[in-house]
Parts: sequence; C-alpha cells; structure tokens
Amino acid sequence: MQATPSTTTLEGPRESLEQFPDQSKDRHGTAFEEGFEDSSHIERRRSHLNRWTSAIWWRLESKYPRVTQQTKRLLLYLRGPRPVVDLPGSSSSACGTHSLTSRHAEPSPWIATLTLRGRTYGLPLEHRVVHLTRPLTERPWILLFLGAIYIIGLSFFVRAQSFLTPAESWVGCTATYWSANDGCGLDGLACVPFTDSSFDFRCPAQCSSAELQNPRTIGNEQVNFTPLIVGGGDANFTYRGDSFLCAAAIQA
Amino acid sequence: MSTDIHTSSRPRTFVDLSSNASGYVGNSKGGCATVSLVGNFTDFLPRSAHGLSSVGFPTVFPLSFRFSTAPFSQHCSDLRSEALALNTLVTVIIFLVIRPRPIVLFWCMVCIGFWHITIFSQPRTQPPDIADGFGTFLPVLFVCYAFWRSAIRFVLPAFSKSPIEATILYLGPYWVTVLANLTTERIPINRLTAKDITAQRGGLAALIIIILVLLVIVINQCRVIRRTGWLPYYLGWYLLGGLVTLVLALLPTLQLRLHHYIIAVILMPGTAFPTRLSAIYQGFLLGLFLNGTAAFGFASILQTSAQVMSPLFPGSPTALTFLTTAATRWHSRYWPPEFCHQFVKF
Repeated sequence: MQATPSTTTLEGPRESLEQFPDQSKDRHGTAFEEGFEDSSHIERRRSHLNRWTSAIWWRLESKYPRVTQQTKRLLLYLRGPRPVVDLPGSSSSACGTHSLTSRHAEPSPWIATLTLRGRTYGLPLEHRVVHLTRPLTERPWILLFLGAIYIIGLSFFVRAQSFLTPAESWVGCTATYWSANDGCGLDGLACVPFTDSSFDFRCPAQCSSAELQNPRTIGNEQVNFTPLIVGGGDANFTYRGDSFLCAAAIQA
Repeated sequence: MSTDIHTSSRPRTFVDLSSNASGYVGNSKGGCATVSLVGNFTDFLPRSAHGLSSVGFPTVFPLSFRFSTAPFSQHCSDLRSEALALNTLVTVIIFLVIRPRPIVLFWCMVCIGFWHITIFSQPRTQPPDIADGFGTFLPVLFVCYAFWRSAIRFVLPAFSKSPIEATILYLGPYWVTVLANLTTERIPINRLTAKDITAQRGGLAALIIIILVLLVIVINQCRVIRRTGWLPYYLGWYLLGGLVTLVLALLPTLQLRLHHYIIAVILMPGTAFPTRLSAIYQGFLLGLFLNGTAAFGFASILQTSAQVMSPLFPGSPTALTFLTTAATRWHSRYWPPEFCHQFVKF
C-alpha cells in the first residue's frame, strides 16, 4: 500500500477509488490515513500521469479564478471525506463499539426504544428477541434439520398442488378455442371441430387478471385491458369461441 | 356497458350451485370444469358476474361453448395462497427465531423466493417444469452471490442485533416484489414505449410518479454515499455502465429492453450502505430479481420488435403470467402449432 498517494485536486480520489470497496478494510488505521492531509497539501503533489491535466487546470485557474475556485469546492464536496469513512452519526460509533462491517457502522435499533438526552427509554424488544433465540442460533444443526423437513414437506405440497390432475388438462388463463385475427383460417377450417367435442380442463388461480394487451374488436365495440369474454348472458351461459376459457368459467 | 339487466332478472340455475359460489372456476383457487362445444350460436348476450363483465355480440358465430362440472374435481384447487402463507411464515421464522448468520439468511431468502415463484406463483408451464427451473436456478445463485459481495454483506449484518427491524425492512418489500405479478403489475404501464404508456388510463401519471420517486431515492442515496467518500467511485462506474447501455440502445433493428431483473442487477450495488432505506431497497431489488428470472428466465437485454410483441418471448415486467407453453400445448390439440401464439398479441 502506497503511503503517500500523489494526486491533484481534480484527480485526487483516483488511487483510492480504484480499489474494491471491501479492500478499504485492510486500509483502516494503516499508514494510508497518514498520507492524506488537507486539500491544499494534496494539491501541491502532482503525479507524473496528471501533469498534463493539472497544466490545463492551472491555466484555467489563472484565467477564471472565481469559477475554478467554486468548481474545486464543489468537486471536493462531492468527493467526500478522505480517507473513506463509515457512515457518520450512527449510535454504535458513539457507544464506542466496533461496527460489524468494515465500511460502515450499524444503525441503532429503532423499535420500542427512544433515546432522549443520552438515556434510553422503552421496551428493549429487539434485545429480548435476541436473548430468547440465542439457544437456537448457537446450534446450526437446527437450521439444517428444519431445512430438511421443509424441503420434504414442500415436495408433498408441490405434488398436491400440481401433479395429481392429468397434465394435459392444465390450461393457461388466456387459452381460447378460436384464435385472434385469421388464426383459424378461411371459414375457421383450422379450428374444427365446432360441435360434439368436450374437454376437461383445470384453470390456475387469478385468471381474472389475465387481460388483453392489444385492442380487440367485437361487433361494434372495442375492448382492451380486460379478459376477453363474449356472451354468457343467456340461460345456458353460452360463450363465443374466442373468449378466454378460464375467465368465462369464472364468470359462468 | 350495462350488462346487469340480463343477469339480475335471470333465475339462478342449478349449474351455479354445482360448483363453488364464484362460477365453475374460482378466481382465487382456480378449479376444474368441462367445456362442451356447441357450434353455431346466435345473439351472445353481455353479462356481469363474479367481478367480470362480458361483451355482447348480437349475431351468429360458428363456434361457441358451454360449461359443465368436470369428472375429476378433487385436487383441482390452486394452493398458491396456502403456499404463500407457508413460505412467508418460514422466512419470518428464519429471520426472527432461528437467526442464522447473515449469509445463510440471505441464501434462505434467495432459495425460498425463487422456488415459490417457479412452483407456485408464476410457473412457466403447468404443471411446473422442475428441470427448467433448475436451469435458471444455478445462474441465479451465481448472480445472487455477486449481490452478496457487492451490496448485501454491508447491510444485512448491521441488523443482526435488531431482528424485528430486519424482518420488517427486508421481508416486507421482498415479498412485495417476489409477488410482482400481483403487486407492481397493477401499475398501468406495460412496456416503456410511448404507445403503451398512453394506452392505459393512468399510465402517464404512474410513469411520472415512478420517475419522481426514483429520482428522490437516487439523490438521497448519492447524499449518503457522498458522506462516506465513495461517490466518485460509484458515479464513475455507473456513468460507464450508462454509456454502454446508450451504445446498446442505439444498435439498429434491436430494441433495448430493460427487464425488471436487469433493473435489479443495475441498482443493487448502489445500496451497499447500511441505512434502513438501503435495507428496504435490497429486499425490494432481490425480490424483483428473483421474480424476473424465475418467471421469465434471463431474457435478453436486446430484442427485436417482433420478439417484444410476441408472447413467446416474455420477460417484460407485465407480460401475461399464465401465457405458458401449457396453454400452447393445449391449443395445438386443435390447431397447427403456428397459430398457437397468435391468440393474444402483446
């Protein structure tokens, strides 16, 4: 790790930024921190690579001192603290405990506690949960055991849900007997037979929300963003062949 | 459209009683029925019942059908609500009671969410194709490990001393987006095209609200990141990613399609800072990613216009959920397969 990064104001963060975030852990409290002083100090150090950009910057600075000063201040603001720090203002750093993650401190528990003038009021609910469940968390085989039970139980659940009815009886929410546009060919010959045919089917749940995504014209009406259902108003609930089968079955 | 005239005066017939209260098939449970084709029928009357209204067609149509009860009616009810209750309970128990190490907790969320979508809430085929599911599951695990490395390990461990809060912050938004077919799909936008946004009522308003909310979130997250000094690093990489996306968007004959799993992948690294909001975002984005990949697979970021229109290439956040090969397979009993995907154009 380079202890004295050579940077300019503009290109300042380059060295530290090209590290992966997690590597900052290694840098914490090392000589890296000593390498950074205030911005005016950094400004004086110019790397070999950045000499060209800093020449341009210097020229701009002499021409437009106010604008460059403000830009510099803005860029420094956006860059944030150097070296990179944990999120400030969290309680754990105030309490003096070390944060779990390297980059950041942890937020303090919110629920049922209220901190006023340094004193905490309310139920230590989170603490109680942590305390009560400690016997479970300390034994990792419990999770393995329960996980095995869960997976076996779920397998039977899946069987009951999907594999006890004939696979060919499943239809989707948008299944129809008559397809859109000229899908059934001249005189609907591609869609025969029209009569004396029956089919046992199974619809999944929530078919009311399977809707048309493009307008469809029925007679003198145009429908869109609704399940396509035509007819069904007579005593026998007769639906037109291009209706969504499941939506019609919900309505019938 | 007034359709109540016909139904209100209509006497309740015996067929209504033969199945449950809501038609032959329930909306929340699904169900079985038998359909019989009756051929030519004249004067289809409109109707409103069970939350659905139909259109009238006062002339003749060569194909029509009626319903009767199915010979097999056991095992027909869809247990997805029960499965949801079970899986929600299991995740809550893992978060609150068992409290494993953060990385184990994370993998439990990934696995339960993925398989809930694959098996129960949005199966790609009916019955669900487990082999197909595992085909997506392994790459999903890999991407989720990248989520862990780049974002989640900085936030989830910070809540290990406050399990109740972690449960609420992570699992709430997580289940909302795992069930994106029921939640975010209600937003009246399908695809981000000018035609689609104006097609549905409220589409433009929804888009403006989404953009404003997203803008506020992004600015706030930038503010948080700036306080740690990581902002130039993140801005630089996001800028580079944006430029690459711009190049992709400009490729001829292809359309850029930011599927919702891609949006989750893009935004996840920006949540690597332990605030409560970051925890909420992570739950939300993880669910969104799992929903997109489990329901539609790793759909391409570039698609032709025809693919965007065709239901055979779903993957849009709001593509019809149940337009699966099961429906297609059933159709091919009656028609040549090339007609099968034409019945609903997306």
